[in-house]
Amino acid sequence: MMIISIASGKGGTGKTLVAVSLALSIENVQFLDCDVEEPNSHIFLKPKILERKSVYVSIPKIDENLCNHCKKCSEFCEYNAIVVVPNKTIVFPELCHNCGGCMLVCPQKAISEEEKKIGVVEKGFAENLEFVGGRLTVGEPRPIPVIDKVKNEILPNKNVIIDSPPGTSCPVIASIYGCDYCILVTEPTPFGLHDLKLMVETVKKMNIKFGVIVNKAGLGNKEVYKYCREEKIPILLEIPYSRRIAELYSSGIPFIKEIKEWKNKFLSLFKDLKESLTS
Amino acid sequence: MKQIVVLSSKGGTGKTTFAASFAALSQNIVVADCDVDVAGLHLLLKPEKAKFKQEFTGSKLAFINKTLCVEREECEASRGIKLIWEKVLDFLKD
Repeated sequence: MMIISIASGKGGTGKTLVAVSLALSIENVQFLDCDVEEPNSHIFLKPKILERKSVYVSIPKIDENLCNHCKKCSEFCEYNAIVVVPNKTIVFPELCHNCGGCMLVCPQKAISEEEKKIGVVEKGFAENLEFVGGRLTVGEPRPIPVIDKVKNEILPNKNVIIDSPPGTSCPVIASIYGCDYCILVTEPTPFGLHDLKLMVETVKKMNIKFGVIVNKAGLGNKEVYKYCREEKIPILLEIPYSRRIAELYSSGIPFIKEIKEWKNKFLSLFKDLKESLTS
Repeated sequence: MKQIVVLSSKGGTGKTTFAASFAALSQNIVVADCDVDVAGLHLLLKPEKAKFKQEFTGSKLAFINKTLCVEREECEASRGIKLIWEKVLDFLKD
């Protein structure tokens, strides 16, 4: 069993398309949508959700009867989540990173914690796969706790496919951390290449094995191929820039369902990856 | 002075294309690429070499003084933030 994450620096390159296509082409799959800010995979997969779990974070709660406004908590907090005015201690839950440090430094023991809901984890089924998806509540600034809760659902006896958010920062790191292999989806344009390079740096730093899928192949120029050749990065698959695939995408239909030979391409890609990881 | 923000939740919808097009048509403007994670506007607008460059430092990075650390288990509390206790000890010394 292995965990494969799908990432790309640039948005809109086809992460969800690749993740869904791969998941629908193989057996014994658990699909994780870790793009908790803008989850999309459910549009393709239409999962039947059987369970919803709220995601909470702990934020400090001040007991004004005990607080003597000594400011130790606000001086300690690196995120400025606590402000002390002469007669009141104010918590800004959006800034809090839930470290609990304020509670430890408070000499008056005036700080306890309360739970704040920031999102939800949804679990269910779609076709051949088990589905887990996270949703961050709009207005909440920190997706990581939701991503962590999605990843807590990983089943050890499943092939796990993780659809990660775009970018190269914390939410991406949290999504791909601990995976066996990372597929980087790019497009053959200057934008695709620029962000691919950033993502390659990221996965290299994390010591994750990776390869590239070029989506919208035929568009743009050859620079992505040149870069991959020079850096000895394997190109696992090319998905052509085709009207048919785009039409199916725009109708929310995974193209592997309609163009059958693609299912085999994804299946053999998976087998190759499995072999290369176990050998 | 008017400020226009170009946004979209979904990636690859054309934020940068739109912003760059607007910028190309306008005079006397300031263009800000706030996609600091995977910036792309410079690929279209090709700005001259930066006249002004400043290092950005965010919040402080914690480090552990192993000789002082007593490895209290509070630090390992399942929060992903390990060994803040060290910082607490330091803090309490003052």
